[in-house]
Amino acid sequence: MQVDTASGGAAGGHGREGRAWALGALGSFLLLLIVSELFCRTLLGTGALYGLVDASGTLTSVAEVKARARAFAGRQAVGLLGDSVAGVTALVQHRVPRARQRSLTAELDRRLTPRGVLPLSADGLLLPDVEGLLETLEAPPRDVILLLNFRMFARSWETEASAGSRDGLLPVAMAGPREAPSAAAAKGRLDARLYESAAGASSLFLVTQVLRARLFVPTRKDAIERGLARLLPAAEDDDLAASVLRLRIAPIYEDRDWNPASPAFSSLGRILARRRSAGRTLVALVPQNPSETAAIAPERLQSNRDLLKRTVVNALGADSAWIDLSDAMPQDAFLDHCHLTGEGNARLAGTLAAAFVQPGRAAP
Amino acid sequence: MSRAFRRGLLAGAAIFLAVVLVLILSGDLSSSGFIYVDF
Repeated sequence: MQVDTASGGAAGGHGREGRAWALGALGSFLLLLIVSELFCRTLLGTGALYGLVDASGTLTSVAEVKARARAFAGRQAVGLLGDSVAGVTALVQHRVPRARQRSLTAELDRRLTPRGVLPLSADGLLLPDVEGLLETLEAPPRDVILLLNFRMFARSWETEASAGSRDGLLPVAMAGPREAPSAAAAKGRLDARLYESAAGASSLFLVTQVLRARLFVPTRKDAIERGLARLLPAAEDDDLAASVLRLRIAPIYEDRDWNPASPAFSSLGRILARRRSAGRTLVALVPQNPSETAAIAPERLQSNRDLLKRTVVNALGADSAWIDLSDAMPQDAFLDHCHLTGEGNARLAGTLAAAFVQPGRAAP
Repeated sequence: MSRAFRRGLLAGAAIFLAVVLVLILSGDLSSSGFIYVDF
Protein backbone atom coordinates (compact mmCIF):
# COMPACT_ATOMS: atom_id res chain seq x y z
CA MET A 1 0.00 0.00 0.00
CA GLN A 2 2.75 2.34 1.01
CA VAL A 3 4.64 1.68 -2.24
CA ASP A 4 1.53 2.41 -4.35
CA THR A 5 0.98 5.76 -2.64
CA ALA A 6 4.58 6.80 -3.18
CA SER A 7 4.56 5.93 -6.89
CA GLY A 8 1.21 7.66 -7.30
CA GLY A 9 2.61 10.77 -5.65
CA ALA A 10 5.69 10.68 -7.87
CA ALA A 11 3.52 10.30 -10.97
CA GLY A 12 1.36 13.21 -9.85
CA GLY A 13 4.50 15.29 -9.32
CA HIS A 14 5.77 14.49 -12.81
CA GLY A 15 2.37 15.36 -14.24
CA ARG A 16 2.37 18.74 -12.46
CA GLU A 17 5.94 19.45 -13.68
CA GLY A 18 4.99 18.48 -17.22
CA ARG A 19 2.01 20.82 -17.15
CA ALA A 20 4.16 23.65 -15.76
CA TRP A 21 6.77 23.04 -18.50
CA ALA A 22 4.13 23.04 -21.24
CA LEU A 23 2.51 26.17 -19.82
CA GLY A 24 5.86 27.95 -19.70
CA ALA A 25 6.76 26.89 -23.26
CA LEU A 26 3.39 27.88 -24.68
CA GLY A 27 3.42 31.17 -22.76
CA SER A 28 6.86 32.29 -23.93
CA PHE A 29 6.20 31.12 -27.52
CA LEU A 30 2.95 33.09 -27.73
CA LEU A 31 4.43 36.13 -26.02
CA LEU A 32 7.38 36.23 -28.41
CA LEU A 33 5.03 35.68 -31.35
CA ILE A 34 2.83 38.62 -30.35
CA VAL A 35 5.76 40.94 -29.57
CA SER A 36 7.52 40.02 -32.84
CA GLU A 37 4.32 40.47 -34.84
CA LEU A 38 3.81 43.95 -33.37
CA PHE A 39 7.48 44.82 -33.90
CA CYS A 40 7.37 43.69 -37.56
CA ARG A 41 4.11 45.54 -38.12
CA THR A 42 5.81 48.71 -36.87
CA LEU A 43 8.87 48.05 -39.07
CA LEU A 44 6.63 47.76 -42.12
CA GLY A 45 4.23 50.56 -41.19
CA THR A 46 6.94 53.14 -40.60
CA GLY A 47 9.07 52.00 -43.54
CA ALA A 48 11.97 51.38 -41.16
CA LEU A 49 12.43 47.89 -42.62
CA TYR A 50 13.59 49.31 -45.94
CA GLY A 51 16.00 51.64 -44.19
CA LEU A 52 17.61 48.55 -42.68
CA VAL A 53 17.28 46.11 -45.57
CA ASP A 54 18.00 46.76 -49.23
CA ALA A 55 15.14 45.15 -51.12
CA SER A 56 16.04 46.20 -54.65
CA GLY A 57 15.49 43.53 -57.27
CA THR A 58 13.27 41.34 -55.14
CA LEU A 59 9.56 41.23 -54.46
CA THR A 60 8.52 38.43 -52.18
CA SER A 61 4.71 38.67 -52.34
CA VAL A 62 1.84 40.92 -53.32
CA ALA A 63 1.39 41.74 -49.64
CA GLU A 64 4.97 42.99 -49.54
CA VAL A 65 4.49 45.08 -52.69
CA LYS A 66 1.58 46.83 -50.97
CA ALA A 67 3.47 47.26 -47.70
CA ARG A 68 6.50 48.64 -49.51
CA ALA A 69 4.41 51.17 -51.46
CA ARG A 70 2.76 52.34 -48.22
CA ALA A 71 6.15 52.64 -46.51
CA PHE A 72 7.52 54.94 -49.24
CA ALA A 73 4.34 56.96 -49.82
CA GLY A 74 5.20 59.62 -47.22
CA ARG A 75 8.16 61.01 -49.13
CA GLN A 76 6.55 60.65 -52.57
CA ALA A 77 9.32 58.39 -53.78
CA VAL A 78 9.62 57.82 -57.51
CA GLY A 79 8.43 54.33 -58.45
CA LEU A 80 11.12 52.35 -60.25
CA LEU A 81 9.63 49.57 -62.36
CA GLY A 82 11.70 47.10 -64.30
CA ASP A 83 13.52 43.79 -64.16
CA SER A 84 16.86 42.57 -62.83
CA VAL A 85 18.69 45.45 -64.52
CA ALA A 86 17.57 47.66 -61.60
CA GLY A 87 18.42 45.21 -58.86
CA VAL A 88 21.48 43.83 -57.19
CA THR A 89 21.38 40.13 -58.11
CA ALA A 90 23.76 40.24 -61.08
CA LEU A 91 26.26 42.36 -59.10
CA VAL A 92 26.14 39.89 -56.22
CA GLN A 93 26.48 36.91 -58.54
CA HIS A 94 29.52 38.52 -60.17
CA ARG A 95 30.90 39.26 -56.69
CA VAL A 96 31.16 43.00 -57.24
CA PRO A 97 32.45 44.66 -54.03
CA ARG A 98 29.84 46.76 -52.17
CA ALA A 99 27.25 45.47 -54.64
CA ARG A 100 24.26 46.80 -52.72
CA GLN A 101 25.52 50.38 -52.91
CA ARG A 102 26.21 50.06 -56.63
CA SER A 103 22.92 48.78 -58.03
CA LEU A 104 20.96 51.00 -60.38
CA THR A 105 18.29 51.38 -57.69
CA ALA A 106 20.84 52.58 -55.11
CA GLU A 107 22.54 54.95 -57.57
CA LEU A 108 19.22 56.41 -58.70
CA ASP A 109 17.98 56.68 -55.11
CA ARG A 110 20.97 58.88 -54.23
CA ARG A 111 20.44 61.08 -57.29
CA LEU A 112 16.73 61.60 -56.61
CA THR A 113 17.19 62.51 -52.93
CA PRO A 114 15.19 63.63 -50.94
CA ARG A 115 12.30 61.82 -52.66
CA GLY A 116 14.36 58.77 -53.45
CA VAL A 117 13.21 55.68 -55.23
CA LEU A 118 10.44 53.20 -54.41
CA PRO A 119 11.98 49.93 -55.66
CA LEU A 120 9.30 47.99 -57.54
CA SER A 121 11.60 46.08 -59.85
CA ALA A 122 12.27 42.38 -59.60
CA ASP A 123 14.36 39.78 -61.36
CA GLY A 124 12.66 38.38 -64.44
CA LEU A 125 9.73 40.81 -64.28
CA LEU A 126 7.79 41.03 -67.55
CA LEU A 127 5.40 43.76 -68.69
CA PRO A 128 2.19 41.90 -67.69
CA ASP A 129 3.76 41.54 -64.21
CA VAL A 130 4.38 45.29 -64.11
CA GLU A 131 0.78 45.91 -65.15
CA GLY A 132 -0.51 43.55 -62.46
CA LEU A 133 1.80 45.10 -59.90
CA LEU A 134 0.45 48.60 -60.58
CA GLU A 135 -3.10 47.25 -60.32
CA THR A 136 -2.44 45.80 -56.86
CA LEU A 137 -1.33 49.13 -55.39
CA GLU A 138 -4.05 51.05 -53.58
CA ALA A 139 -2.13 54.28 -54.17
CA PRO A 140 0.36 53.89 -57.05
CA PRO A 141 3.37 56.25 -56.95
CA ARG A 142 2.63 59.60 -58.58
CA ASP A 143 5.82 59.59 -60.66
CA VAL A 144 7.34 56.54 -62.26
CA ILE A 145 10.44 55.44 -64.14
CA LEU A 146 9.69 52.36 -66.25
CA LEU A 147 12.70 50.41 -67.51
CA LEU A 148 12.15 48.32 -70.63
CA ASN A 149 14.54 45.54 -71.53
CA PHE A 150 14.95 43.61 -74.81
CA ARG A 151 14.19 40.45 -72.83
CA MET A 152 10.59 41.60 -72.26
CA PHE A 153 9.85 41.44 -76.00
CA ALA A 154 11.37 38.02 -76.69
CA ARG A 155 9.38 35.33 -78.49
CA SER A 156 9.58 33.16 -75.35
CA TRP A 157 6.91 35.28 -73.63
CA GLU A 158 4.43 35.59 -76.51
CA THR A 159 1.89 33.01 -75.39
CA GLU A 160 -0.69 33.95 -72.75
CA ALA A 161 0.62 31.19 -70.48
CA SER A 162 4.21 32.43 -70.56
CA ALA A 163 3.55 36.18 -70.74
CA GLY A 164 3.81 36.75 -66.98
CA SER A 165 6.42 35.41 -64.60
CA ARG A 166 4.36 35.42 -61.38
CA ASP A 167 0.79 34.19 -61.01
CA GLY A 168 0.30 36.62 -58.11
CA LEU A 169 0.75 39.58 -60.46
CA LEU A 170 -1.56 38.45 -63.26
CA PRO A 171 -3.25 41.61 -64.58
CA VAL A 172 -7.03 41.84 -64.79
CA ALA A 173 -6.92 41.98 -68.61
CA MET A 174 -5.24 38.56 -68.71
CA ALA A 175 -7.17 36.92 -65.91
CA GLY A 176 -9.73 35.19 -68.15
CA PRO A 177 -10.34 31.45 -68.16
CA ARG A 178 -7.13 29.52 -68.54
CA GLU A 179 -6.38 25.99 -69.55
CA ALA A 180 -6.82 23.39 -66.83
CA PRO A 181 -3.41 23.25 -65.13
CA SER A 182 -1.42 20.06 -64.75
CA ALA A 183 -1.32 18.47 -61.29
CA ALA A 184 2.15 19.92 -60.66
CA ALA A 185 1.08 23.39 -61.78
CA ALA A 186 -2.07 23.19 -59.65
CA LYS A 187 0.02 22.26 -56.61
CA GLY A 188 2.40 25.13 -57.37
CA ARG A 189 -0.51 27.56 -57.52
CA LEU A 190 -1.93 26.24 -54.26
CA ASP A 191 1.50 26.62 -52.60
CA ALA A 192 1.78 30.16 -53.95
CA ARG A 193 -1.71 30.98 -52.67
CA LEU A 194 -0.92 29.64 -49.20
CA TYR A 195 2.35 31.58 -49.18
CA GLU A 196 0.55 34.77 -50.23
CA SER A 197 -2.10 34.25 -47.55
CA ALA A 198 0.57 33.84 -44.88
CA ALA A 199 2.36 37.01 -46.07
CA GLY A 200 -0.92 38.93 -46.00
CA ALA A 201 -1.90 37.68 -42.56
CA SER A 202 1.39 37.97 -40.69
CA SER A 203 3.86 40.83 -40.72
CA LEU A 204 6.38 38.55 -39.00
CA PHE A 205 6.16 36.04 -41.85
CA LEU A 206 6.42 38.83 -44.41
CA VAL A 207 9.55 40.27 -42.76
CA THR A 208 11.21 36.84 -42.54
CA GLN A 209 10.67 36.45 -46.29
CA VAL A 210 12.20 39.87 -47.00
CA LEU A 211 15.21 38.84 -44.92
CA ARG A 212 15.32 35.52 -46.75
CA ALA A 213 15.47 37.32 -50.10
CA ARG A 214 18.05 39.73 -48.67
CA LEU A 215 20.33 36.83 -47.90
CA PHE A 216 20.04 35.97 -51.57
CA VAL A 217 19.90 32.24 -51.61
CA PRO A 218 17.80 31.59 -54.69
CA THR A 219 18.98 27.99 -54.72
CA ARG A 220 20.94 25.83 -52.33
CA LYS A 221 23.47 25.25 -55.12
CA ASP A 222 24.13 28.97 -55.37
CA ALA A 223 24.52 29.28 -51.59
CA ILE A 224 27.10 26.50 -51.57
CA GLU A 225 28.94 28.00 -54.55
CA ARG A 226 29.09 31.41 -52.90
CA GLY A 227 30.32 29.83 -49.68
CA LEU A 228 33.02 27.94 -51.52
CA ALA A 229 33.99 31.01 -53.50
CA ARG A 230 35.02 32.71 -50.26
CA LEU A 231 37.37 29.84 -49.47
CA LEU A 232 38.69 28.94 -52.90
CA PRO A 233 40.41 31.07 -55.53
CA ALA A 234 38.10 32.30 -58.30
CA ALA A 235 37.68 29.75 -61.02
CA GLU A 236 37.14 30.48 -64.69
CA ASP A 237 33.59 29.92 -65.89
CA ASP A 238 33.42 26.52 -67.43
CA ASP A 239 32.28 25.87 -70.96
CA LEU A 240 29.04 24.24 -69.84
CA ALA A 241 27.93 27.29 -67.83
CA ALA A 242 28.80 29.57 -70.74
CA SER A 243 26.81 27.36 -73.14
CA VAL A 244 23.78 27.36 -70.83
CA LEU A 245 23.89 31.15 -70.64
CA ARG A 246 24.11 31.41 -74.43
CA LEU A 247 21.06 29.17 -74.81
CA ARG A 248 19.12 31.22 -72.27
CA ILE A 249 19.79 34.59 -73.82
CA ALA A 250 19.64 33.51 -77.49
CA PRO A 251 15.86 34.23 -77.80
CA ILE A 252 16.38 37.75 -76.44
CA TYR A 253 18.65 38.77 -79.31
CA GLU A 254 16.91 36.82 -82.05
CA ASP A 255 17.04 38.62 -85.39
CA ARG A 256 13.29 39.16 -85.86
CA ASP A 257 10.66 41.89 -85.79
CA TRP A 258 9.08 42.43 -82.41
CA ASN A 259 5.39 41.57 -82.42
CA PRO A 260 3.20 44.62 -81.67
CA ALA A 261 0.26 42.26 -80.96
CA SER A 262 2.20 40.33 -78.29
CA PRO A 263 1.08 40.34 -74.64
CA ALA A 264 4.12 42.50 -73.83
CA PHE A 265 3.09 45.31 -76.18
CA SER A 266 -0.60 45.00 -75.19
CA SER A 267 0.39 45.26 -71.54
CA LEU A 268 2.70 48.19 -72.21
CA GLY A 269 -0.17 50.01 -73.92
CA ARG A 270 -2.45 49.50 -70.92
CA ILE A 271 0.27 50.52 -68.44
CA LEU A 272 0.93 53.74 -70.34
CA ALA A 273 -2.80 54.46 -70.72
CA ARG A 274 -3.09 54.31 -66.91
CA ARG A 275 -0.07 56.56 -66.56
CA ARG A 276 -1.34 59.17 -69.01
CA SER A 277 -3.55 60.84 -66.46
CA ALA A 278 -1.11 60.25 -63.59
CA GLY A 279 2.09 62.11 -62.72
CA ARG A 280 5.38 62.10 -64.57
CA THR A 281 6.37 58.93 -66.41
CA LEU A 282 9.82 58.34 -67.84
CA VAL A 283 10.10 55.26 -70.03
CA ALA A 284 13.61 54.07 -70.84
CA LEU A 285 14.90 51.27 -73.03
CA VAL A 286 17.92 50.11 -71.03
CA PRO A 287 21.41 49.55 -72.49
CA GLN A 288 22.22 46.24 -74.18
CA ASN A 289 25.65 44.76 -74.62
CA PRO A 290 26.74 45.65 -78.18
CA SER A 291 28.30 42.20 -78.53
CA GLU A 292 24.77 40.74 -78.29
CA THR A 293 22.86 43.25 -80.42
CA ALA A 294 25.48 42.76 -83.17
CA ALA A 295 23.64 39.52 -83.97
CA ILE A 296 20.57 41.53 -85.08
CA ALA A 297 20.47 43.17 -88.52
CA PRO A 298 20.96 46.95 -87.98
CA GLU A 299 17.78 47.93 -89.88
CA ARG A 300 15.73 45.37 -87.89
CA LEU A 301 17.24 46.62 -84.63
CA GLN A 302 16.31 50.17 -85.57
CA SER A 303 12.77 49.26 -86.63
CA ASN A 304 12.19 47.47 -83.31
CA ARG A 305 13.45 50.49 -81.39
CA ASP A 306 11.21 52.77 -83.52
CA LEU A 307 8.20 50.55 -82.85
CA LEU A 308 8.78 50.84 -79.13
CA LYS A 309 9.24 54.60 -79.32
CA ARG A 310 6.00 55.03 -81.31
CA THR A 311 4.13 52.86 -78.82
CA VAL A 312 5.32 54.94 -75.87
CA VAL A 313 4.93 58.38 -77.46
CA ASN A 314 1.47 57.59 -78.90
CA ALA A 315 0.25 56.25 -75.55
CA LEU A 316 1.67 58.93 -73.28
CA GLY A 317 1.08 61.91 -75.57
CA ALA A 318 2.92 65.20 -75.51
CA ASP A 319 4.01 64.80 -71.90
CA SER A 320 5.89 61.60 -72.68
CA ALA A 321 9.47 61.22 -71.67
CA TRP A 322 11.04 58.47 -73.73
CA ILE A 323 14.72 57.69 -73.72
CA ASP A 324 16.33 54.96 -75.79
CA LEU A 325 19.63 53.96 -74.22
CA SER A 326 19.94 50.57 -75.90
CA ASP A 327 23.22 51.54 -77.60
CA ALA A 328 24.43 53.98 -74.95
CA MET A 329 27.06 51.83 -73.23
CA PRO A 330 30.30 50.22 -74.41
CA GLN A 331 30.93 46.52 -73.99
CA ASP A 332 33.13 46.97 -70.92
CA ALA A 333 30.23 48.56 -68.99
CA PHE A 334 28.46 45.19 -68.86
CA LEU A 335 28.73 42.19 -66.59
CA ASP A 336 26.87 40.06 -69.15
CA HIS A 337 24.28 40.62 -71.88
CA CYS A 338 22.34 43.43 -70.17
CA HIS A 339 23.42 43.82 -66.52
CA LEU A 340 25.79 46.71 -65.93
CA THR A 341 28.89 47.01 -63.76
CA GLY A 342 28.83 49.37 -60.78
CA GLU A 343 30.33 52.14 -62.94
CA GLY A 344 27.80 51.40 -65.68
CA ASN A 345 24.94 51.66 -63.19
CA ALA A 346 26.26 55.01 -61.95
CA ARG A 347 26.36 56.38 -65.50
CA LEU A 348 22.90 55.05 -66.33
CA ALA A 349 21.47 56.46 -63.09
CA GLY A 350 22.93 59.88 -63.92
CA THR A 351 21.31 59.84 -67.37
CA LEU A 352 17.95 58.66 -66.04
CA ALA A 353 17.91 61.17 -63.20
CA ALA A 354 18.70 64.03 -65.60
CA ALA A 355 15.99 62.87 -68.02
CA PHE A 356 13.50 62.51 -65.19
CA VAL A 357 14.17 65.89 -63.60
CA GLN A 358 14.30 67.72 -66.93
CA PRO A 359 12.20 65.65 -69.33
CA GLY A 360 12.74 68.12 -72.15
CA ARG A 361 16.38 67.12 -72.22
CA ALA A 362 15.67 63.44 -72.68
CA ALA A 363 17.24 62.03 -75.79
CA PRO A 364 14.63 61.22 -78.45
CA MET B 1 7.88 30.06 -10.38
CA SER B 2 8.85 26.42 -10.52
CA ARG B 3 11.97 25.09 -12.19
CA ALA B 4 9.86 23.21 -14.74
CA PHE B 5 8.00 26.39 -15.69
CA ARG B 6 11.29 28.28 -16.17
CA ARG B 7 12.60 25.47 -18.35
CA GLY B 8 9.37 25.62 -20.31
CA LEU B 9 9.85 29.36 -20.87
CA LEU B 10 13.31 28.74 -22.26
CA ALA B 11 12.11 25.88 -24.44
CA GLY B 12 9.27 28.00 -25.86
CA ALA B 13 11.71 30.80 -26.70
CA ALA B 14 14.09 28.31 -28.34
CA ILE B 15 11.27 26.81 -30.42
CA PHE B 16 10.17 30.29 -31.52
CA LEU B 17 13.73 31.20 -32.53
CA ALA B 18 14.09 27.94 -34.44
CA VAL B 19 10.84 28.57 -36.36
CA VAL B 20 11.96 32.09 -37.32
CA LEU B 21 15.38 30.84 -38.43
CA VAL B 22 13.79 28.08 -40.51
CA LEU B 23 11.53 30.65 -42.19
CA ILE B 24 14.52 32.85 -43.04
CA LEU B 25 17.10 30.26 -43.97
CA SER B 26 15.37 27.20 -45.30
CA GLY B 27 14.12 26.12 -48.66
CA ASP B 28 14.29 27.33 -52.17
CA LEU B 29 13.01 30.85 -52.65
CA SER B 30 11.60 30.00 -56.05
CA SER B 31 9.13 27.68 -54.33
CA SER B 32 7.20 30.75 -53.19
CA GLY B 33 6.20 31.27 -56.81
CA PHE B 34 7.31 34.85 -56.45
CA ILE B 35 11.08 34.87 -56.48
CA TYR B 36 12.23 34.37 -60.02
CA VAL B 37 15.59 32.70 -60.28
CA ASP B 38 16.22 32.58 -64.02
CA PHE B 39 16.86 36.18 -64.95
